[in-house]
Amino acid sequence: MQRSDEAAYREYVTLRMDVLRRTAYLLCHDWHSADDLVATTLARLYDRWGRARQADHLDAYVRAMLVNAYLDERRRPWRREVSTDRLPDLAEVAPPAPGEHGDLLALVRALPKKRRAVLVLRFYLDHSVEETAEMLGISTGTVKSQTARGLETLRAAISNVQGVQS
Amino acid sequence: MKTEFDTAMGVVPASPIDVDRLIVRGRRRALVRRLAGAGAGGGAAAVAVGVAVAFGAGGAPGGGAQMVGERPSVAPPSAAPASAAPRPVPAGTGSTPPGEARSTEARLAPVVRDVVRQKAPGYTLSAGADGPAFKMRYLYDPGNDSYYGSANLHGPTGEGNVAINVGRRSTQFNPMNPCTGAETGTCSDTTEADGTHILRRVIHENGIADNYVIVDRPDGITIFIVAANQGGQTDSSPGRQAEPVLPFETLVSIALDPRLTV
Repeated sequence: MQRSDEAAYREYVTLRMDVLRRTAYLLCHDWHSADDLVATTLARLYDRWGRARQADHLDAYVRAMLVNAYLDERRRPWRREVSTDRLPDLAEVAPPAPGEHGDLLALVRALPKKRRAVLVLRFYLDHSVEETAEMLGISTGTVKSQTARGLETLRAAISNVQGVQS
Repeated sequence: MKTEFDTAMGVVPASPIDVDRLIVRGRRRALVRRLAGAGAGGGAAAVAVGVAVAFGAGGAPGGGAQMVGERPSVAPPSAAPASAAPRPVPAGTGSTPPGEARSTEARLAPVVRDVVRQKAPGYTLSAGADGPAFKMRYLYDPGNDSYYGSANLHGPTGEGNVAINVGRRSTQFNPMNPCTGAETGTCSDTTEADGTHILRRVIHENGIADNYVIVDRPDGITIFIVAANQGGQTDSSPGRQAEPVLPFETLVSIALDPRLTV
């Protein structure tokens, strides 16, 4: 990578680090895992920076990398081989913080991983159904159904969620 | 719903991720790829060297995953001690009420030009890689709720690009500040008596030099301004002179001007 590209990469990461970390936290639910996920994504982004900068929507490109890195991580065999008597998604749940907002995070945490990814892309990062489908490599119908189920779960926790359409 | 999520997350802990270390690691991976492809038996060499580099740098095997929270192995010490205590920032967007982006762009562009001309007398402003001088554009995506513009400056200290982001700090515009203590080159951050927080950072690499300044003002405005010694991000040529076109004091002076607001 040329030094000018590195300068662009550095500026991009400096500006976007916070939202990437927050997004990763919503997916992983602990800061250590979230920072590992972001660091992994940014390392890959460095390797692909030339291609990434040519993307129509650089942020969408990077977010797709982040979310897919998260999903890939959970698909790896050694992850599946962890011995547990609880469902995989629930096995990683830490006790929720008390109160309404803690309940919100706890509810998101309890969602299956792909549904969680769909909700984060749709409602935290503002991506459309079509963009979300493309980023996750799934159909728009699947995005809609995952969104509807996810919102159903969250409705109990967010008073103003009725205004949100799937 | 973004705001509810941000509120639920609360204060985000300081980032342990060092951007410069990511870059150093990336360079090493690129070097390894080049070396591995250079000679006979490159395939086996690639595997062996790749693993050695990954572990040698403290990373994990399997595609460049990076451990976080470590000190860099190659970076010189920062000029200032780390002061990366997390600071709360408002959730949501703050830079632009709905429907006002276009009018704010139009208002801000001449103001930025005026402020730069006043704080950097003797310099001429001309179009840069992003179009007309400081034609401010509203950038909105989660994570970048700010106005951006750039220009080429030519004057007493030479020539180079100056780029600026103006926004209201929130979870949607939250540039990394303060220094992490692990940056390549020097980085220092200070808090003035009135609460203004100023980060100054120098980057010198292969003839390209940047002066970075991030200013958090008490009025909630955050300015990210970068001066280069060449044409900025899209220019790969070395600098036209050794130092960035504007020194730190000028950049800070621009960022502190209360006319730069949204």
